[in-house]
Amino acid sequence: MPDARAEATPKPARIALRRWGGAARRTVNLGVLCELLALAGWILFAIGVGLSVGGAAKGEADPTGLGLAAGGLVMRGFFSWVCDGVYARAGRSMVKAARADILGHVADNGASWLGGVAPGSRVSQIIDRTGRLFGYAARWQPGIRMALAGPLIVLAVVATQTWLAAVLLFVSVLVLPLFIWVTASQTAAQARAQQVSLDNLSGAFQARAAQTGLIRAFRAVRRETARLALASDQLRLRTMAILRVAFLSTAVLEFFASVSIALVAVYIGFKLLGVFPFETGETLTLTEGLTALILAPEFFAPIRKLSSLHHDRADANAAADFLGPWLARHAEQPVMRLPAREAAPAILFEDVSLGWDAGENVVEHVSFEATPGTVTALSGVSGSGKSTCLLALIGQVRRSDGQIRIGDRLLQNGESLADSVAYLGQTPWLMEASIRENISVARPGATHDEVEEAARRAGIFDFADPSRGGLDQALSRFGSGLSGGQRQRIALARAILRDAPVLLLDEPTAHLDADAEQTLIALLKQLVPGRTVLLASHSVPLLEMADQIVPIGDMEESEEKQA
Amino acid sequence: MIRLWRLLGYPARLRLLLALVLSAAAGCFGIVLMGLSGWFLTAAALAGASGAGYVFNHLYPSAGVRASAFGRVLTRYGEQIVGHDATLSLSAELRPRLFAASAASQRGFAPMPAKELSTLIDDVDAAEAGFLRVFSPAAAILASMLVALGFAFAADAAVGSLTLVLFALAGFLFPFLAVKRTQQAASELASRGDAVRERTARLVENAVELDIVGALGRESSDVLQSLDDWIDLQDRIDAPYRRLGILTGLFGGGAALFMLWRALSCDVALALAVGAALATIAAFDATAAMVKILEAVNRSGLAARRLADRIEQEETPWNTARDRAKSLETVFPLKAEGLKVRAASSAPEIGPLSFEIGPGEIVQLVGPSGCGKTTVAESLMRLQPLIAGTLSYGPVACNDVRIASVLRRIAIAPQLPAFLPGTLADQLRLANPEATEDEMTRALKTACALDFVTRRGDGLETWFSEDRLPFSGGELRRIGIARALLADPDLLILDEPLAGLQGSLGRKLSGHLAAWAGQEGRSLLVLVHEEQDWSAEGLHSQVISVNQARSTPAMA
Repeated sequence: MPDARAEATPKPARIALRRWGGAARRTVNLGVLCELLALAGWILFAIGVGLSVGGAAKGEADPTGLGLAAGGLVMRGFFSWVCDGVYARAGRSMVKAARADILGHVADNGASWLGGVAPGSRVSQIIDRTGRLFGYAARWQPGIRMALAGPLIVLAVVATQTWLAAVLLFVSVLVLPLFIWVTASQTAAQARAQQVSLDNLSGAFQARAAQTGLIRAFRAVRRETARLALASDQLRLRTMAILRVAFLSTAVLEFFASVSIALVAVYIGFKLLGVFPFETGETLTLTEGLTALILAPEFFAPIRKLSSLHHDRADANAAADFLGPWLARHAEQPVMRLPAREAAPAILFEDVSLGWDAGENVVEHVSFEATPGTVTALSGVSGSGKSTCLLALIGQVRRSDGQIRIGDRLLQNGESLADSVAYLGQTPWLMEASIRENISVARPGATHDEVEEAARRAGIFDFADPSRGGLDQALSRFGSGLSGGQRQRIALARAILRDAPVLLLDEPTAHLDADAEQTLIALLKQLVPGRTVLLASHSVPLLEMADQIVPIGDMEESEEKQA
Repeated sequence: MIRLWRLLGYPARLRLLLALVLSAAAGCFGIVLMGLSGWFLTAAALAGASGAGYVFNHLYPSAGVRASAFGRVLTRYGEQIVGHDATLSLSAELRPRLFAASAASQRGFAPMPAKELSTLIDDVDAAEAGFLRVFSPAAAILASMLVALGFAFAADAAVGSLTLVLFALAGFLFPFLAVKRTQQAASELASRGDAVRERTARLVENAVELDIVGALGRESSDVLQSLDDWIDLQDRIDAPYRRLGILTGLFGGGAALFMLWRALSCDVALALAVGAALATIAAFDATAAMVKILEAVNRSGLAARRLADRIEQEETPWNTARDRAKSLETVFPLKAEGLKVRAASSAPEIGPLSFEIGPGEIVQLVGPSGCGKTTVAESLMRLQPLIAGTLSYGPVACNDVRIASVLRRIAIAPQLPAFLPGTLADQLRLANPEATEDEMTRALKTACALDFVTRRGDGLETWFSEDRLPFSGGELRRIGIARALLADPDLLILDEPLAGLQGSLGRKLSGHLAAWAGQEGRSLLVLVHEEQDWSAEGLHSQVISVNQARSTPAMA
């Protein structure tokens, strides 16, 4: 399965994977070096044990062999320890590189670059998808290098002790891929079918567990229970048929690992006894034989380890599949901020259609004119594209048809009014700082008095008690402890302080109760004179403050889609 | 985990036992392979050197070496097959039981909240994996330890004792401490993780605002920094835990060297010491997995406890005991006196409501959204307990009937109906498993759903998958109505059936439904946010207002 995935990986994904991997490459190589040194320690251990036992067998109690073994053991421990840390660092470097890549794009390309997908999915792309890259640099890449280098080194060392044992190991590893290939190609298709049926069962269980109420309301509990039991049993039979074959490939690996050790042991034993029936051209000592025997399991260890790491590669490829194309689409439409305007412009939409990237249009054929000093409401159910119309003004959306006119100027694709705009969304962004700092974000150069004035007009002193520090009262993380209404007043103070001629309101009362909504509406009304106000909402009280209401999307149709 | 297994009636007993035995055998064979090889080699060399090569019985040891190699492969394969088979049997027992238990104790018919559901699914996965992750590998490790100890004690008592102590440390004490420490750190890590995740979410959600005020770049790099700090913290917590395996390996090597040293310096048999040394190295290698097992013990154990609690949950407490339940001939007149309910134990009270519904009526339950209309409807179906007042169906008080017999006579079509994966016919058969195609088609027609189902779907074979429903919300609601009709109830409850319907279609649907209610012994209860015109000839109309909590005759 991972192979099919790798072949299908589109180019942007591969480029992204290589870019992030590049950040970890040196660390990975350093880690591999440490692991090779640890292996060298183990080889010393094996030789040391071989020497001391070989000596003892001849009646010479020579402690140098044991000393060598102890040294080797310490060396192995030390380098394994270091290696573990280095690999973890490689994994972290790769994850960090991917996250830096994404957040760098956010900083460079603006908010539009995050659009088009639900915020929750974006967050999980930024955190969870990238997190899956850890195993790629920390396990898979080292694993594949070690699976090549490790066995070769062990083989070379074993060959210096007994060439025939080395040949035995080598032959068994040559046969191995063939067997794995035979069983894997059989199981891959079946494993996919298995995954599908497993998904079906957990889907069936999940769907039923989620809907117990509904099932009970129709008195179908017993029936659905029986159905679930039947599905589980069928799944068991089907799964077992597949697992019987699938486990064969692990068994084959085990088989060669065990049997080749047994063969080496028996060969060496017979040779040492002098009863081996064929002439092999080598005379074997106990020292050589024992060294070879201790190293034999080490020959297969990296290969066995690699076979358990496939999911690390598959995870990383899947992450790159998701993130690569997203990262590749930057710079198609660089955002250009137009200089700030002094006076409120009229905003004219003429038969405008909007969409994200190359996707379908979200909004089609919208026309309206918003004049200074009035409120133009864009109304429609959520998902109908009201917000998209607002984002078009700040260069966030691709306009596929029609034109947008700001005063006497045509707004080109990618041009942004951001510097002439104040914005109120559903919940404002609040940082862990004083209320004053949170307000002055809107205009960093504002004076002390200007901030106070904006706060007063937004009614912030109603809750920012002077006894608790007034505006210098610190907000806790993400403004927790403030009500929705209080948060929106901070946002309002920002809008007042920013004093921009265009005010964009995107469902500003979505999270407010009726009272808080009325209060906010009263405060908003004082901002209308001298500004062009665009409001996206489906809240009835809020729509009442509008001078004109523009329906977005076919209301009837869109409700059906939405529900 | 044992408790959950007991609750399920000890399923797959023999297979689990067999898997344990096979797993232990696989562990043994692995160690015997190395130990015997080492012993054989050394003994052979000694014999060969003393010229006794042909006297030394080489057949048994070499056969033993080969046998343990084959034995290890076979037992390992067998253990995997039997273990997975037993686990799947366990799951085939667990899932239906879990479903039936939660259905019996469910309140209302709202779907399970997504978070609870995902915990449940994770728990099921963790509990089911418990055997394969805990018992089976633990058996293998214990067996490996025992064999290695056998070799060690056979070689020398001092060596054996030391190995025993090292096993206790590396196999039990250290992993136990490591897991405990990680768990303590895990809560700190999780809260840091939540904070970082929230911060990232704020960045994404407020990107437009940040972009406009020009703070997007700065905030992005701050978020990146906190993500980096978080992953570094994660590594600091994980590192000692990961490195425990290295320590275990060192112990194995150390114990092996001690054995050889004893053999060199004291009169311990050399061949046996070498065998014991190799066996010990292999056994300590296997022991490194112990930390993973202990971790799984915690996870699977917790999950299994939660699932056992769920299964042991009692049936809905307000249900009537089977032996004193009366049968229900009709729900009419359905009479509520001072009825008070609440959606959940902490939710606000709804009511008191008093009303009476007879046959041949169209009743509107009116109130703004969120006022508790659905909860009232659920309580009429006995899916919610009463907190005050009385409810009776004809002569029978609601405390004297089983919930199931009420549900036979009252059906509901919710505003956002839910569907299980399956065909449209499967959806409809949920309400009536014996429904014929004709009956289903007729119900769809009554609900004004037949048209789009045949035009845009594959008729009754239209597939409803988990993540993609084939029709729009308004259409699905009408399919929900058809489903409720098929249950052939006395009282049909409809939640906002006309919402989002164009004038003519809405009139057609309400006409169909009124005609349905016009048949002998049927009534319609409609939940609406504002009063609608539902008057129909020959039917008595009534409006119950939920916020005013009293019954008034309809205007019409």
